[in-house]
Amino acid sequence: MSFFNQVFKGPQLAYYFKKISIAVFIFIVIVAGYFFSQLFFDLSKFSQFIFDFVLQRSNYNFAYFTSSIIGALGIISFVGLVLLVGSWVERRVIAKFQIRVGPNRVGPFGLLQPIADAIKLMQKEVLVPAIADKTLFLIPPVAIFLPAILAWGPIPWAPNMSYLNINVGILYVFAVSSLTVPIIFFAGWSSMNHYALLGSMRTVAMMVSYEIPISLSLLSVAIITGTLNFSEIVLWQSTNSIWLGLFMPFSLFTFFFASTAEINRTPNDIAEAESEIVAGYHIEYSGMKAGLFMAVELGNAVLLGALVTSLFLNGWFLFGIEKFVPPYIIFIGKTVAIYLLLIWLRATFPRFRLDQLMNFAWKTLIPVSIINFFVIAIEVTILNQFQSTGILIYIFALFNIFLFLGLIVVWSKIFSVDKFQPEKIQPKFAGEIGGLEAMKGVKSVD
Amino acid sequence: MIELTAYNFSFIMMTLITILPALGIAFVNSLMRSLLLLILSFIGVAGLFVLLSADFIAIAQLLIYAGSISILLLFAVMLTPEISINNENSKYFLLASLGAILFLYLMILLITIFDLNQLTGNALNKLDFDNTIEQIGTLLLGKYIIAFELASVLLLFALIGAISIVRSSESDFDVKIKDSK
Repeated sequence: MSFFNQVFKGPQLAYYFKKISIAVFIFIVIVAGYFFSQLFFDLSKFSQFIFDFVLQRSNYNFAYFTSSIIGALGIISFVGLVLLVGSWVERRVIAKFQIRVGPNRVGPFGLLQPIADAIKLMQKEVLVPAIADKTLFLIPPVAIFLPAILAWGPIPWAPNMSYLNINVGILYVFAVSSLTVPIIFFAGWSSMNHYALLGSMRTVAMMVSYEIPISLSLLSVAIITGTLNFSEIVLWQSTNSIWLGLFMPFSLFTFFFASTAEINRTPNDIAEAESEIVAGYHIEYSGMKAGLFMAVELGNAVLLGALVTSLFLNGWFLFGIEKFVPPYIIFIGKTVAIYLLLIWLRATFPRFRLDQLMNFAWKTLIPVSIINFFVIAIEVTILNQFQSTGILIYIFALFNIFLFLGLIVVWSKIFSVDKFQPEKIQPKFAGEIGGLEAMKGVKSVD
Repeated sequence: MIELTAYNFSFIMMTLITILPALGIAFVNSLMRSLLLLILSFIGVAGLFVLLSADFIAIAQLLIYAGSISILLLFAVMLTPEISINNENSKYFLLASLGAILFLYLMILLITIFDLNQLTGNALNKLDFDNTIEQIGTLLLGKYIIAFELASVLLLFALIGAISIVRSSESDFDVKIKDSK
């Protein structure tokens, strides 16, 4: 025993034991993961099996119905899992950024914290304001889930693995996500609260203005790939062996930034600016109703990751690794990477003011996206003259990167907002405009 | 009796989603609620387009009517006083119902006279394409290019006109600053 103690002192023993056990754990995970990945490499076999199984026992319509229901349940359960794990990931990662520990009490590493949160939220009383329009008040928290889940439909997880393989995929996602705007407005209006109404009004204004740069960036994706189908866009990127995010970095930036405004994430979470309008459009909602709004925001952040992955980051392809790892694992990995980037942004950046956001959308993003769109359209016409894109596409990609940097410099130096403002509007203190004496002339709202 | 296939069942569901909210728009007193029902009705129409295998028009219906026109109507409704209360029934109830009955009669006439099989999805199925977007694109930028361009010019004029109406002159700003001092 003394020899043992000499070689491994008490704390050292625990240290080595921890290291070795972690290594063994990772080894087991890799081996087991390899076998599981070979077993579940192509999930379309399973859906085909289910379809054939039902088809032998009934007619075609019922088999189609059953397999579509099972596919929808798969997507819904994935979104539910994302909502549970995502909130834990977000809190833990933000805690790491802020040098805190984060939730670590409930379950191992605090993994059961989201479930505890959900149970706590469900137990809370649902308060409905007395003057609120009660029917309209209770619809939005449920209705806002519809676009958030419907938009997952055409996402291409892997080859032969997309729930809605439709020719209008991009337009479908764009159209379905635009349905959140009236829902948010109804949530704010039916609360009969000034803060809620203000929050919903500015959210609607922001969403409407940021839909234009998003549509311009998606348009440039559509003209170069010649399709609106997500799977075909991913395949186009692999056949031309270039990521669209590299080919048109400005479109990627526009889509990413404008989408953070659409889904109310920092730095654009103007809808819930606590310092200005207390909580935004969901101020009057309590308990699980408020929790549903939060959950939808989180789910939309992951959905943004999936959209960016399939449109700009080559989907399920990753330099040949997709032959050994199941493609949908690569897809989810890229999605999670984008989600972690969103969390990083949330931990790092402060919130923009409303006027800054609107100025940025109308005076910078939209004109620059139009220029970028025209440049890409010219490049596409040149590329279409040749049989294979070859090395020309890389030259254009390099050009586009320099164009991106150049446009940023030009717009910030020459066409900046300050140049067109005749004089800078400085904030005034109450004393400068006459202080409280001037306020006496203002009629009371009550 | 109509045979209840999957297509007919979806058609009946979509028709109900379209018509019931449309009735609600007329009979609900709160303007906001009728607006919500209007959006639901638009979504039902989009579903009808899907059943006609017109995927692009269905998405456009969803995008333009349910997503954008409804926002426009929201802002218009916000300007009306007493949105949710005291919206009494119209004085022209009899006249409106007479018009509705006449319109119904016209529709029945149209349905009985025309061979609708020529106009539904059956006609589309006979044609040789699976992608309506390409067809619409080639038609819009080929055969109907003049109408398309004229419509875009008209929209541009509308945009410029709206901006010039809303834009405030610089003297307004001066007045505000003087007032605050």
